Amino acid sequence: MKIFGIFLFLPIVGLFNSHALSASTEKIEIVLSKADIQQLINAAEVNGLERSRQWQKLLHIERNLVGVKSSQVVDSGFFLAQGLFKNQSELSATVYSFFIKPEVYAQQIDPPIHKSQYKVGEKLLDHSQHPICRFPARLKFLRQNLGSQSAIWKQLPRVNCTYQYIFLQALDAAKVNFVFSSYYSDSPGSAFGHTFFRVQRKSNLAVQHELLDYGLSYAANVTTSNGFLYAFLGLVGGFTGSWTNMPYYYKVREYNDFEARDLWSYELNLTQDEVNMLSLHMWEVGSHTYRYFFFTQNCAFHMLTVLEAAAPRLHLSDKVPFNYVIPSDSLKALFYEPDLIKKVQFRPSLRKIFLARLDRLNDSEKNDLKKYILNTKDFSVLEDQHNDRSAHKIDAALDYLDLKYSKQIMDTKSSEFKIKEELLNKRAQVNFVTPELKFKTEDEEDPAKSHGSSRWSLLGTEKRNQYYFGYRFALHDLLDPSYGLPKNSQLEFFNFLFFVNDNKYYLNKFNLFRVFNLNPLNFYDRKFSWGVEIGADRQNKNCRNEIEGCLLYGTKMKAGVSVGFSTGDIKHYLWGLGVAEARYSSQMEKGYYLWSPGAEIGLLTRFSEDFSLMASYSKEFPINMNKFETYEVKLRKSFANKWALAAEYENDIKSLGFYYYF
Amino acid sequence: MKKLIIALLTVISTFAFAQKKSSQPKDNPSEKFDRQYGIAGCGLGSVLIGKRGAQIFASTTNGSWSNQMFGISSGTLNCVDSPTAEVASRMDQFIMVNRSRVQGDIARGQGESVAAIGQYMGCTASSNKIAVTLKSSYTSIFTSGATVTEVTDGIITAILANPELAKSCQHLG
Repeated sequence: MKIFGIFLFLPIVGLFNSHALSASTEKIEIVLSKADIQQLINAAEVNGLERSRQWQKLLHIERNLVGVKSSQVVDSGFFLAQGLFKNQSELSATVYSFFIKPEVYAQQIDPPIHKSQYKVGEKLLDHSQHPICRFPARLKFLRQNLGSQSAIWKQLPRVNCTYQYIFLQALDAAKVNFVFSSYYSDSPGSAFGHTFFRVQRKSNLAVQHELLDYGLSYAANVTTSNGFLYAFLGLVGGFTGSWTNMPYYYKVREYNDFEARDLWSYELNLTQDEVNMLSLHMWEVGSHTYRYFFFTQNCAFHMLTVLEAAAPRLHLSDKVPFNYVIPSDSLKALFYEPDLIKKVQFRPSLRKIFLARLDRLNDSEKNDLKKYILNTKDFSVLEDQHNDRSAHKIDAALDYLDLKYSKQIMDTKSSEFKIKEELLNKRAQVNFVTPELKFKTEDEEDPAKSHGSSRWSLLGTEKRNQYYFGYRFALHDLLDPSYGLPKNSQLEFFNFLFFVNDNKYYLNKFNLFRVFNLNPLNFYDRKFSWGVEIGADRQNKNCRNEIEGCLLYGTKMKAGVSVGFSTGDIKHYLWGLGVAEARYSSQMEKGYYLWSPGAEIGLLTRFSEDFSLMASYSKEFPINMNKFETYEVKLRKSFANKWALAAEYENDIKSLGFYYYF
Repeated sequence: MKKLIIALLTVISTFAFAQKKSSQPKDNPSEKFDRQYGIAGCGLGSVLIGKRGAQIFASTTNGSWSNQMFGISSGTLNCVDSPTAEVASRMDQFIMVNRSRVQGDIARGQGESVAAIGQYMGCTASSNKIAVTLKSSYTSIFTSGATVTEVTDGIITAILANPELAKSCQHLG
């Protein structure tokens, strides 16, 4: 729980609240009289603009965990109420700054685009540092809300915002999509999925070439490649976060191809005016940094806050309690707003594309493909007297290479690149055009359909006054309903399980982190199944008090193989793993440390998305201590994705109860 | 994830540097598409490998004057001298990142990346038609060891060699 304490030290950026113009501002050259400026500021005050929702959202002022309101943007460049304006509120400072004479910021620059339209060496007058250029969304907001002051607004300086202009021209935003990239359990930073915006360009709408859209993404500026340091710094706010704007094809390459993750696009029902405001606001906030927190002020949260800044009618960030938000929660928050989601669109990962190509092959063709994969020198197995059959076989082989060697193939000197190059040449010679692959959106895979990320549980045993209760912050285990979540992965953070016996409470289990990935072996995908957990676990063997047991702190790792098969619609997975445990306890019979190798076998049977059975048995042989066994059988059936009935049998204790997801 | 981006960018910048060396004027029909600034000179490439771009990923921005960076990372900037060169320059950037997809789609004669390239060239002809045309020129586009600009030039040349198709591609002027 200590880690949560650290969240309290959130950066606090104070905003000043003085509405009278101070003496220091007299030095600034402005195009208006001081009286005019004051008139505008007074009008803003009468209208309560400073406290208005949109103004607060534009400044990213949010309440932190202790209830203090402060801006989550940390770099000073985002605030005008400093330096010359240091005694002003941000609103008065902003109003004032808009009327600074353009000459103050004028500079001559080389034309950044359309060079052919300029003479050699010709310079361009630019005012990009003028607040009008830097804060266009604030300007739009003030002009809209202080429309009655039109005589004053007419005197707004004329400036050349060269770079802002280029940005807006390039973005050319017409529609905004909220994109969720599915779970990627191979990397802790992406295990929960990632969210970003896809901006559809006006010029692109007619033809809908998604690849030419833009991806606006908020992410941590990670400064370490050490996984543990990454997790720690991420939790305590050791990184800054910022926005990047990239062509969408980068995102597709990164997620669909390199990480083989599906992309889900949710088109947002925004007016063109709101879309424009979002573009302007992205420009003003885009180059500034926030403090990044893995669980709170992360990509998922800031996706919501910028949407609220652009369209204050939306109430999204208040749908995530305490600002604890994981990407799928931010996605679900969108569904609280009626009609905000216009359309759902699915973009298959390279793995899904490969499987679809494999589907086009019959059994003997699949065998040919396997032969080729085992010996890529023997191309003849892919050849067929019918062009279409050769084409389908080669197509599948090409995608297999891309999937298996996505990184190696980027290096044109690698042997994998050469193998693929050769195969491509053969494919080009086959006179057959591959028909387009069609994918239908699998509803049960839609990440918006996943169960609530947190969970309560209560299970009673055969004895009176003996029961288990548990709380888990996030996210999923193998028996939870699997709609919209990876089917064979378990990923849990802050999981507590208490055991109550005759009014005595015991912490039975605590997982800071627990992950278990079942990767059923098949010919094309030969990955280990593995699991890691960090936390504390109560055991009975080797403890001084064998009845109450003792709490062992430490870690357990397991790795091995699993296989999957089906009987009708029912899917089964079997696994066999080697286990290694390293734990500490002061309550053990001899010594403080337990070093223990062991083995585990298990079975998972999935009758349907919401009905599963799991059984496992493990035996461990600790060094210099008594060996011990653990076994469990668990059955869980969920209803409406909201709660589940459970029957469990674990180390001689039978229990019955329910789980509740929220 | 970030590591992958960086890996991707490293490869891209290697491409870009390799490009610079070979951007001597060529005596081939595609000379008119030459991008005098090279891939490293414009748009995303320059941002990511230039000193401004280093800031994006090194998080050293002090924020007071960095709006410019955010905009420039938008990837459609160009600093070329003619419309055709502008098209070619954008295609370079696209192919740099998507080479593997583009090459696969052209070999198969169908695919989304070919449709995107068609749009860069402003073609109204169907992307299937473009893909089939490019498929028949596969070997001349993807010669062994072809650089990114050579691939782009190869694609434009293949389209121009088909007058009917070329007529539908307004950006090729």
